[in-house]
Amino acid sequence: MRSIDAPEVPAWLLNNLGCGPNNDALQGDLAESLQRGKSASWYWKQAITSIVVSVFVESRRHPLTVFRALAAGWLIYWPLGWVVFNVVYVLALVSLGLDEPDLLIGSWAPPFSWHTAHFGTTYTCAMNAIASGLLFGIGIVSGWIMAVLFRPHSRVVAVVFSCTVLLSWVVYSAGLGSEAIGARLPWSLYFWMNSVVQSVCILIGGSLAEAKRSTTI
Amino acid sequence: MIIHSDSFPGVMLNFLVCLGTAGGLLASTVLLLALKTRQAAKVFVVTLAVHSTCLILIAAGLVLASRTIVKVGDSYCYDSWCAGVTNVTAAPHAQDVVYKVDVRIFSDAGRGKQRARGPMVLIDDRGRRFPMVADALSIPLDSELDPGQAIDTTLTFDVPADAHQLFLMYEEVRSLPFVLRALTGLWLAEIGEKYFSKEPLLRVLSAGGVAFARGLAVLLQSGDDAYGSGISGSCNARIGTRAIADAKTTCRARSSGKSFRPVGKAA
Amino acid sequence: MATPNAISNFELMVMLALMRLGDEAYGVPVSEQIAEQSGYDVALGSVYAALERLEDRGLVVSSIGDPTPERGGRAKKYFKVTGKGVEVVRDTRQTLTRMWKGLKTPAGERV
Repeated sequence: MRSIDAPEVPAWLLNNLGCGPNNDALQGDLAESLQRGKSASWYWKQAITSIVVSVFVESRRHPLTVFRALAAGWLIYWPLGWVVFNVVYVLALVSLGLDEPDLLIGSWAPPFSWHTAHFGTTYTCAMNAIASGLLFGIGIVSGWIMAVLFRPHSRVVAVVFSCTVLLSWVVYSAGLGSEAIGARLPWSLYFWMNSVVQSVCILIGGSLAEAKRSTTI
Repeated sequence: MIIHSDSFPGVMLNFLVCLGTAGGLLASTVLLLALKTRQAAKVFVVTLAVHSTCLILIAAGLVLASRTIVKVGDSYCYDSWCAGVTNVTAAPHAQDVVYKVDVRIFSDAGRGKQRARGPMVLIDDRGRRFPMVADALSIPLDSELDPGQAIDTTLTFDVPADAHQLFLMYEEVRSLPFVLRALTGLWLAEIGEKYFSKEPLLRVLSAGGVAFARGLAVLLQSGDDAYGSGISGSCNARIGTRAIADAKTTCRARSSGKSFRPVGKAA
Repeated sequence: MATPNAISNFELMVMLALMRLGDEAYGVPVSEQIAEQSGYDVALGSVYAALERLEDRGLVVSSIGDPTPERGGRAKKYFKVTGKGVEVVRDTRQTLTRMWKGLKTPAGERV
């Protein structure tokens, strides 16, 4: 019988985000079912459902751990973000001869078009790329630290924390007002791209810590 | 000459102390939440030790540093809000002397508005404080200043005639929360300034100048008696920015046009 | 005497499937058994979540099998109902039977 490989993306997600103690056996069962004729879409559905169910179950089994981890996560994420954007980013801007506060990533209200009109497209894109890179770096570092500190529950902690960070971006955008998010699509896309990718970076950070631990063992 | 309250190394030291202490305390809290109590305790102890060492160094620097006295004509910058005495006039008023101190205030900031965050008081060498007398005609001391903007204003003080050397002192109301002031050591600096008398002072009048003004007041009053009601009205003694010892004072009496010129220094 | 451990409907179905399958009970056949008997598909993740809860309460035990290439080199995990689990199943059945007895629809028909 010709071996059928599991779709890579759901397999990777399940391998890195699946939280339950039987995650290994579950992956084996899904692979076995694929060989017996189940479709790739069935595999996708099973993988996503399993991840969601395992996160819920593990959170309910260890509520205090998850709560402590969330508190620790925000104590890492927020000050790290503050230091990076009020110290590192400002020093970078000043060293490049630019000290306009409105270009700082914290000020979402002026849209992309305002920035390009004031600083030019190339400069704005470069600054936004640097800011995005810093955001993603913060996500990876936060996720990595949390995964290291809260073993053996690193996966559920990383997933739950990532969800709270994404939720905080949603709440933040609601506070900005509809005009800011409105019809200025390039700026809106940039905002949401940063939010989603940063949340994913937290998961990546957690996975890197797990992978390092596995190779060490 | 403009003298600044703090140097870049000083500001950086305070900032690093704050950042380091906050970072250490945060790390300790995070480790505690992760139930790694031993590591949390270690980090906390190290943070406390480093912070205490920095505070001791700041305190030692404070004790060893001399008090800044700014002479008339020079300015002192309290962060980005600056003030300097340009001129002083004195006039007798009953048993007291009314000093009108011309002050130039300006902003040293690159951006953002600056304003005084407290009053200025006159103090003598005995440590007595004399608050400002309200003067509706003068520009308020706490006027908002744009970057680089300067304003000339006059502060009025009612001082007993027996007051010796006079200095202007800025009683700044600290706006930073106590936690931040404690973390950076600013709180310690404030306590040190207060109890070791290290607050910077702007010289208004030296001992010779005050004695001269006092003597002038005595002479003016005796002059009033001696010359009768022919000389009336107030007499302003103008003490210039030059050395007080040889300041000559001209007093114009409003009457028949006679001028009164005091001879030498008063007792 | 009835045991105080109540189990959910889905957990009961999982335990019944385990008892029916005997020694060869692991994730795939359990979910297939439930799908066959109930007529609807169940997610493997939900089956394993139920098995974890039952194992925590001592109603089932697990053992690791051999890895196979078909499973990407991953081992099967077999589950078996314990004596305590059998007692709970029995008590649940008795409770449900008592509650079913004499039950009629609003139209007066037997359920």
